[in-house]
Amino acid sequence: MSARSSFDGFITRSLTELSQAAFGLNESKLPPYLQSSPAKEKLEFFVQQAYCPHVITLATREADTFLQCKGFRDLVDFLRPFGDNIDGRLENKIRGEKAFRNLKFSLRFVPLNAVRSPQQIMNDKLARKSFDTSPPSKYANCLPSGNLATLQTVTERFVDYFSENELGEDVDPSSPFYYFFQRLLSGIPVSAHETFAHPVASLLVVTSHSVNPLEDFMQLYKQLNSAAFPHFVSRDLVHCYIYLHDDENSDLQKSVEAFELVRRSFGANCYFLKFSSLKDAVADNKSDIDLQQEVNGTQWKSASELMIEIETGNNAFDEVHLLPLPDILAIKKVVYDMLNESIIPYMQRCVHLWTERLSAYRGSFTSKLLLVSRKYFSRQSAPTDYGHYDPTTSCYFPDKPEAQLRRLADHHFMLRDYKVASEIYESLEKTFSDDKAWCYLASCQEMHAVSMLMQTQLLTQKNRSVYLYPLLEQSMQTYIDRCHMPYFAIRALVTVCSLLSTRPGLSVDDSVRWFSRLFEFNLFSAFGTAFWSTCIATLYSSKDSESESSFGQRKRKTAFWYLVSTSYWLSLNRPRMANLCLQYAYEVYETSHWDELRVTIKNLKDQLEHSLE
Amino acid sequence: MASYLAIIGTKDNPVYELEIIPIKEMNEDILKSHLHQFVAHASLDLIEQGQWTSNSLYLRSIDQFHDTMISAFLTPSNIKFILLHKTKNDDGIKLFFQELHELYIKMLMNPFYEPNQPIHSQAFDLRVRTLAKRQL
Repeated sequence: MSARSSFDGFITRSLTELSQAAFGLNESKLPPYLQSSPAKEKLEFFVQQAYCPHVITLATREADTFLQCKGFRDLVDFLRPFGDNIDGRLENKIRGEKAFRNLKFSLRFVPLNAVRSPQQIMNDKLARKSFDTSPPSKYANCLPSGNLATLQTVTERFVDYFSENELGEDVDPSSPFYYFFQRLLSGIPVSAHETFAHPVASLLVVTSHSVNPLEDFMQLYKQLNSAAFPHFVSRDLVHCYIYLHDDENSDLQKSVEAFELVRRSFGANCYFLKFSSLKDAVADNKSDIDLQQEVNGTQWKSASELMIEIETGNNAFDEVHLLPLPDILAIKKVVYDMLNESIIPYMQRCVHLWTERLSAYRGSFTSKLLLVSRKYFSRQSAPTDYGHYDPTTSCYFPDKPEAQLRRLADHHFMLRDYKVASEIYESLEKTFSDDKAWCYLASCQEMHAVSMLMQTQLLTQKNRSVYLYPLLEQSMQTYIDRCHMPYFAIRALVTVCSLLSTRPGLSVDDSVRWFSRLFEFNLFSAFGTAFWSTCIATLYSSKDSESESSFGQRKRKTAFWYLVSTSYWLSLNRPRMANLCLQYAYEVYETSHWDELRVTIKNLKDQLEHSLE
Repeated sequence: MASYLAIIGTKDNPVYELEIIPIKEMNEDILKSHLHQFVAHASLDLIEQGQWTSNSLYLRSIDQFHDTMISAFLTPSNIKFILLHKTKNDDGIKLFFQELHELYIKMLMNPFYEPNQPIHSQAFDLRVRTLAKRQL
């Protein structure tokens, strides 16, 4: 019957189920298509691994030489990949009982001269240019991000590399977006207004080749203490020591004795790392191939460092080293122990200490009101508790309570305590605004927004528009207008949009609306138009789910934006990338009942195939 | 003021389409018409979502693509009226949709017309054009 056929389109679901889904109550009671998705976990993982403790690593010259023989640039280069993905154990006190949470952690090993402000790096570069002839790659691993032009070049190269090398049926065109997001978050510059790049720990490494390991450790320690950190970086660090035993050239017994001596002098944070030798391998009758395993280069190289690698002709995107498997396991164990026995406990102790010490400053509103009223009504006793901002150097010195509070908030963030972190950021915003410390204010607003989104509780539409969007807006404006730091503004925007798009609920449209601002900024010019279209398609595609219901899905939107980006990529003369984007759009449109759409997409596909030949 | 109207059936199939171009802008490139169709198709996602949260048939402005706004109206038989327009005109568009709905109901009452099929009737076309000129 013709009348009945028109009712085919009615979706038969009960209204109660949908009303719950639409208005979102408790996340655990949500239907599966609204819970955590792989895209959400991936993005949260990136944010967690980006904002992680930094460890300054110093090694003796023998250690560096030893590792150069193994094919690495120096010890830091060797250690870096092992800091990317470590299992961490966080203690949780639930109703008085201790429980452990197993989480994925990350450590960023940086060389000593990475702890410099971008201004210092610039000055050093200019000073070096005149007399130093060593290749730029020697200094590459300490260059932070922050340069948008470099970021653009690296992203363009990645898009070319990706589209040339990825062949096959189900290539995911969302990879460039994730790559860009990682690059944006990697290489956090050492700045006054955020302390994530400030070192939390130091690592001194001595090998068994050295004659007097204690003496070498003291030398490295002296080197660390006399290094010229920027004045806003605190020197409170936990010191870890690694004794590297080379089984091929040294005697194990002697090494163990030397290590015992070291441990007796330095205390708890000493670790013994044994590199196996070929003798063991031959003795066990194993072939070379069984024993070796591939180790990829670290994923968190900054854009500037990648730029140098591209310029010197190295393979920037696919670095692989071969190491014996026992060595890999040994290093992973040492890094795991270092994280869980030295670094995390140290951070937790710091957090405890600072919380106690600074509880007065984080006091209730009434105490603050009293202080302020005293300030206004009695000229003599102006409070010395606030207003430590130094306008000449535009920073708070590390011993001042505001700087310590910021450090406390960042530590909470790194230890996954997002609720407390966002509370501290919120309380700091008023202080910074009063002191007119604009960079600090913008940074606090940015991190407040990010920590709001990293929490697992649901953010309703009302909360988003009342709290989150103004934070993002103000943060971006302050970064751009008052601090002249567009890199941080872009970082804030992209991070918030990405995290927002994967939230359960209907926030992806808002996320795309904010993301479209990048078109207005005209960032990355023509390449940018194509790239942002692909990014928007990626944001929409994160809503794809296998479930049958189509509520909350954005298949048509994703297909549309992939189509738009196809045409932009074609106009930029990148047919391979265009082809990758077209595949998704083609799947959706070729089965559509809309004739013209089907015909257009078919023509486009033919045109592309023609241009690829 | 240029607009594009599409009546879309229950299977994403176009039942009726109309490009409303004022005489002044007639010389401009109409190559963008394909883009209009894709934009309308993409906004179907938002209509399908909005229909469960809104009580009324007129869904107002549900989407935006650069400078083009998209308004939608949903009939009880799940037929979508989508209008792409550049200027904001909530009242005019609401009246337009309501009268379009009445025209559509009259179309449905024709026993020779099956729902979800394309509308080829010239009378319908003429009436819609007149309505558009009046309201938009």
